[in-house]
Amino acid sequence: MMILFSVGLYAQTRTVSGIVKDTNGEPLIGVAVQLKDNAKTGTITDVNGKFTLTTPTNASLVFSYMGYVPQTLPASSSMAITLSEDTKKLDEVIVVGYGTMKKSDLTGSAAQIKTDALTATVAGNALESLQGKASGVAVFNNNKPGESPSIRVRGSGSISASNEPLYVVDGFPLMDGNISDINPSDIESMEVLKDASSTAIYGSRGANGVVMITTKKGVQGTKNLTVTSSVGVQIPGRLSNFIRGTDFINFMNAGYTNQGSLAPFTNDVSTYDASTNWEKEILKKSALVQDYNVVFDGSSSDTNYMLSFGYYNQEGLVAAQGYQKYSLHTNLQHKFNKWLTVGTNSQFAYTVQDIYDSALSDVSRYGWASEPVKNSDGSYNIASTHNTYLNDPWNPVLDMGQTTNQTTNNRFLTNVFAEIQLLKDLKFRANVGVDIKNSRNYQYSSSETSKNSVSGTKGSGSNTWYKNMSKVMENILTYSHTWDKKHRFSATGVYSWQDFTYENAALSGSGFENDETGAWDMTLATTSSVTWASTKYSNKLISFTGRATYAYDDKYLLTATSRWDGSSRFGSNNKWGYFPSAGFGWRATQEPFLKNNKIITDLKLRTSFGITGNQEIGNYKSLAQLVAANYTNGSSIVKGFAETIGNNDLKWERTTQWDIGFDLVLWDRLNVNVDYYRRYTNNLLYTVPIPTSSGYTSILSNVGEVSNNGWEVTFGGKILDQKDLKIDASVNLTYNKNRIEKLYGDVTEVAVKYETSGLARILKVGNAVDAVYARKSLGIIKTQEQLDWYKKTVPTTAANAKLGDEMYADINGDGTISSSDYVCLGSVQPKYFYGINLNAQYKDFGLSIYGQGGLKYASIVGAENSSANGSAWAMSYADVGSYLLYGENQILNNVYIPTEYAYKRMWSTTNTDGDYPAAGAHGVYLSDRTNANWNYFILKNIQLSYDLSSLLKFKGIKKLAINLNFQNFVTFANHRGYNPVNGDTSNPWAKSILFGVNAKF
Amino acid sequence: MKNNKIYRYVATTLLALTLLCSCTNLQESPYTFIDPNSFYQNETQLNEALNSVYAQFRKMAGNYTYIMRLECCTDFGQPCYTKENCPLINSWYDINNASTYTFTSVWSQAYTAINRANTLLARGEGVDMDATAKAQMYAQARFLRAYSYFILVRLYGGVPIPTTYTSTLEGLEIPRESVESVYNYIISDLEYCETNLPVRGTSGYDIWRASKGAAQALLGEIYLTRASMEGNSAYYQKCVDYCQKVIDSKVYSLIPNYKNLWYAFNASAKNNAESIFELQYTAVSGQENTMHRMFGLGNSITIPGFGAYFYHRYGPSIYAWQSYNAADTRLGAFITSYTWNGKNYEFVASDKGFYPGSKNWLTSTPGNAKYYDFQTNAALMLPCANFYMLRYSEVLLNYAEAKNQLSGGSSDALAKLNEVHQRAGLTALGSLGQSELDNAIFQERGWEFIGEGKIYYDELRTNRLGARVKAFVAQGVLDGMYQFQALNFVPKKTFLWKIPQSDLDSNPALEQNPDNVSD
Repeated sequence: MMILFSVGLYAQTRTVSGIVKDTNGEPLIGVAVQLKDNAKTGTITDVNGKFTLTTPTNASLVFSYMGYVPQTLPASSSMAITLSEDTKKLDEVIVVGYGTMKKSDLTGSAAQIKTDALTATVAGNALESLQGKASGVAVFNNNKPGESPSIRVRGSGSISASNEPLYVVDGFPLMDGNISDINPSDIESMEVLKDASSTAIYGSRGANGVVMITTKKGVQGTKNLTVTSSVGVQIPGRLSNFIRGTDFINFMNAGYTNQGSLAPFTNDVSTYDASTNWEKEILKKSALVQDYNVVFDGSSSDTNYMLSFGYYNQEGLVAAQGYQKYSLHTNLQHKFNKWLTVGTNSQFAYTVQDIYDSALSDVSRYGWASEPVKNSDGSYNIASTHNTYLNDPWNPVLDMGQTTNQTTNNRFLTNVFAEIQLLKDLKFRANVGVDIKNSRNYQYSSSETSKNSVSGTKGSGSNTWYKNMSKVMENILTYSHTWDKKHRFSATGVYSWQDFTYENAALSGSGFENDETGAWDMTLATTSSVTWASTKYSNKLISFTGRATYAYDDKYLLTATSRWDGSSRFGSNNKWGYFPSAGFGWRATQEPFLKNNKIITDLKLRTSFGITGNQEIGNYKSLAQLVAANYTNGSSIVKGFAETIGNNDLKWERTTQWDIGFDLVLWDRLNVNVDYYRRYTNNLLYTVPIPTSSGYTSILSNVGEVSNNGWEVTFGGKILDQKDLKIDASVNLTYNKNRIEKLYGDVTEVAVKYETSGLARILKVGNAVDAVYARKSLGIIKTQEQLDWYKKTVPTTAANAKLGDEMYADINGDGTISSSDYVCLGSVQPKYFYGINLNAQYKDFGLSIYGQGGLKYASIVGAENSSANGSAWAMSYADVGSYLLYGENQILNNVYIPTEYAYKRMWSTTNTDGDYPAAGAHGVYLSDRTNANWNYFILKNIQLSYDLSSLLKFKGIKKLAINLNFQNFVTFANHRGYNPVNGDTSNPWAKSILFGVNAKF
Repeated sequence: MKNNKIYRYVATTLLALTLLCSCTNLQESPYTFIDPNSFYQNETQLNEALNSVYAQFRKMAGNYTYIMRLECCTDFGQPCYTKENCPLINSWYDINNASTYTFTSVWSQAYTAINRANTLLARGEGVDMDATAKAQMYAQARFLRAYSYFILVRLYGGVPIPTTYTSTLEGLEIPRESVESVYNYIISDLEYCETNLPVRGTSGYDIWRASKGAAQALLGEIYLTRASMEGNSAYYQKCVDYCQKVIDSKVYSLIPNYKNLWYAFNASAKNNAESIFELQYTAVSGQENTMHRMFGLGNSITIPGFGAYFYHRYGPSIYAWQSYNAADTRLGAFITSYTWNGKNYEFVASDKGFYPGSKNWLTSTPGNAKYYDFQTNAALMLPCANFYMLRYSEVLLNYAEAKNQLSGGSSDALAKLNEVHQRAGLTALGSLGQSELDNAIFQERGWEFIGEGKIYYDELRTNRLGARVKAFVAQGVLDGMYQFQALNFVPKKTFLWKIPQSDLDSNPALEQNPDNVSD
């Protein structure tokens, strides 16, 4: 019996071989071929699509390959299998909070961007690639190496709290939002959750949208080594081209004379050499950028793994700027036994960022073309020492080499998890994560900088250390079950705890002995100049979350979530908040009347409603504090303390959002997605003025209401889908209208800041929360009639007006132009913004283009204090610094240098049709002519690629492609700032040409 | 299988329990500050609260924009630069505009000082300490509170008087009191101070703190102000009485060499014999005196030997500088020349404020060394000269003016005037009639106190402001003085500044001052 059995056994195996191809007849490499009954036995197809396997007779083989419909076939000795692509995307999965969901089941509004789209652009920060890819998501770049762009999902809801979305990396909600430390090549997909149904699961942090980032994990049955490298050059783009030569001489003379001063250049024009091009002197002709990544991913028996190393190096076009990043990432998942899986997602990044912000910002003020960078003896020329028209010592070429500002970061983001399969349908997962960032900043300005060398001062510098640490612990229980194949139900319950601590220590001093040793040794500073400071703060969040989803017959979908958040930031009367949401979807194409419709291949209608919160209100704001208020006896400090009042009612900002939309696929190749949303935020954090006779000027309270209403449309699909030529394109368009609905009490208007430049930030019910206000321009005074009329209309304001000045509208008719005549220029965020994407594939050649643009918005360029945090202009999305408009328009009686564009259009007696103020014009302010109705378009990336895989016959190479990228090459804007979006000129605009190689083994 | 299931449940429960044990405590525990309710336990801590009142008073009274506006709107100051609207202040432009042309921070800073004083008086009740020491602390707080109200009532008229410190957000909308009520409140505070403050120089009592003499000198000034404003001669008598007390105490005396009053020239100038009450500064970050920087010798320059870097907003008016007698030692307090990098810089009056001047001068006016600090290392950028609020020479002039009003041409008044006059190296004045003596006293004030934030108040209460400003600006415009524009408004004695719009907006119970009418 035993012998028979064994003989029988022996006789029952056979060798099976075959070839697997796709519908185009191309062999498919790496297809998993497994025994149906025993998945452990299997192989993968080789570079020719061939496989060989020893199987029992009468076995069935399962052929599976990512993105293709799997097939199960009986084994035979010589097989020819054709796998077709899975176009229906029914099983495509999208990452939502605390889990994943089938895309078809989603009732909320979310955008998904996958890895290829993310790595097409070479950038230090993955958010750069998000620009233009998703409707409703506005990305504002800050063109400084190593900086993270600003994101707005469906408009700004807050006045003083943060408007940035929540970033979740592999399930870890970051408390320190900077994701520049994450290597973009490690990212598998990025989901932006937009509506309440998707974001309410993050409760008090979901009000501004959620960006979920999932990094690559090894896939069962595969083993890959991917090497990508990109090297390129950045060249300066969008140069301002300030006037030089005789234009400059004539302009300066005309300007100062018009202002009533002496002309600076009294000799014959030809005797002056006004050839210095400060822009070109400050910027390098080109700067190198490099990006190298090596990724190992795959699976080996019970373990899926991913291991990656990356190096990114971007030199700045300003010599003192630069950014380098070294990153290491590993994701491991090990199935320990039938019920226990453990794993970790860990990444480490070391970055070095060199900052120098002010090189270009003052060129229009001090960059006289008649002043050389260096004197004839080789020393640097500091114009203010001999040029009486220039007051401040300035020479950025000198200063760049004499100033250091370097920040190094070590960031370690890790999460360890264990997943226990309790019952067939019940799973428990425990996550513990920590995110630690240690940074060190070193700054030093030597005694040789222009300012210090003129005053004979020694160098000054500082050393600062920071630590940001966040810990998270989560318990997630998931239950899912399908009854009768019709009722699909799943429920998730989460208990989570998260905290965040920040510490810093800083030392600074001046009078350093030697410039060579800089500020590394603080004992070399003048003792009495040394100042020191340190601080620490923390906050904590505890939450209970639940979600239930139900799908009936794949037709009717229901999702409900609710979350209770307790935050240490809220006042003692309001520690806990409740955030529920519900979403409903209807897959109309599952209905019998649409089921096999040839035109409408997929239609889902969905609507959702929910409440989310924003807890980014700062720490300890509800508490009364005892603060230091020291005095002195004339020689030393005497300690003093004063108290402040708190607000026990302080709580989160609350957003109620309603969304309705549909996802439509026509002819199985054209996608249309439309969403209409209404987002209403109340309990806005705002420092409400209180009677100053109390001793305080304001208290932080929850008042005010803001609404953001809009729609998003995405259109796209395959234009051509043939064997050799494929073209697909998509366009997305978003419209958002932001409006303040209510301020506080009976107040309908609050002036936040009036600037001398003419810009103002005012909060006014009915207008946008981030609106800019300024005068309304009536154009340039071109004729004597206009001058007479203007002098008659506003006598005191126009008392000294001349031809070539600007006229402003007297809105309230009181005979003067003052702050009561300001008009609203609109929001700083584009009313409409759009993205276009085009991909074409011809045989082995590929072309991919994508661009992004915005229409109708105002700019804060020219504002005096425009940093992104803690100023009257904090609603803006990036630091903006520029005197360009001052030069083009002669703002505030300053004879600053215009661009060639503006100079050609300046009014003068020989150019009486000029639309720009004359050289040296009087009383010109920033107005709607200069700062309103901006628009821009950036062609972010043009990529040409060529796939060499078919030429290769080497064993082991799965893919080899080369590509040529032109990034940020083409821009259109109706202004001349470097940054086409906001007009900032403190950092140059870099156009890059990159050559890259992608290989997969 | 069963064992397997048990293992699963046990593992899950253990894991869940360890993670659930994380604290549910959401109480915030700040690391860098404590709860005010746990403070004020003992004398040291109450003293620290008192120091915070001094710090806030200094912030308000030593605010450079306050001093700048006070001086620049009179004929004793003129603008050097366009920033912060100095030329417009000089020409009394748009003076009824509560949003832009008023003292933007005096009101709120004064009330913060008042609230801190009220906090000390309330919180001090619970502190167990020696009654005399506590009364001295209370008196110092009340002195600073009274002085704050005195500044407010002269600028704005009647103002709200909170009854206690602010501990809740309820009931903060209080209306304005009458001028009479405010003065009564001030005087009752200062009478308490006179009783409870020790004499300056008392052993164990810091010299920089408010003293009995300070309370008396301030009372003298208050009564003189009320007398001039209301024409009540009983108040002149009270002024004489209080000034007499200060003179008779023999605690104070005039410093013989005028230059030694100023820290720029004398390292021991702080808290000297002539000083009655000063704002204290030192070379530590947050304790420096910004007036050095803002009222300097040019734009963004550091001149070796002249302390930290300068900007320039305003300076002593050229006409006032020219009005000094050549022998007057007070001219020594002005900086009119220096050498830098081998080049000579000299102020030339006929440059009419234009710069760079004919001898390279980099600003419109001479520099006023009362603000400067040449002692502290310039690289620290922490100039810290002290600033006089009350000096003995003022007490003498107050006495002289009040005595002269009571008995015209009084020789006693003349003698006091001559003490100040002769200290400045000038020959004593002979006997004068009442109005000539009054003018001579006023002229002395101008020469003595230029730049110290006092002359505005003296010109206003004696109804000299309008006429003088009118003549001054007209002359400047005629001469083509740099940055001078035609005068927009002539103030009367009843002139009151508008309460800043932002302060008005936050309290609906406040009524704004009516628009001032030009003379």
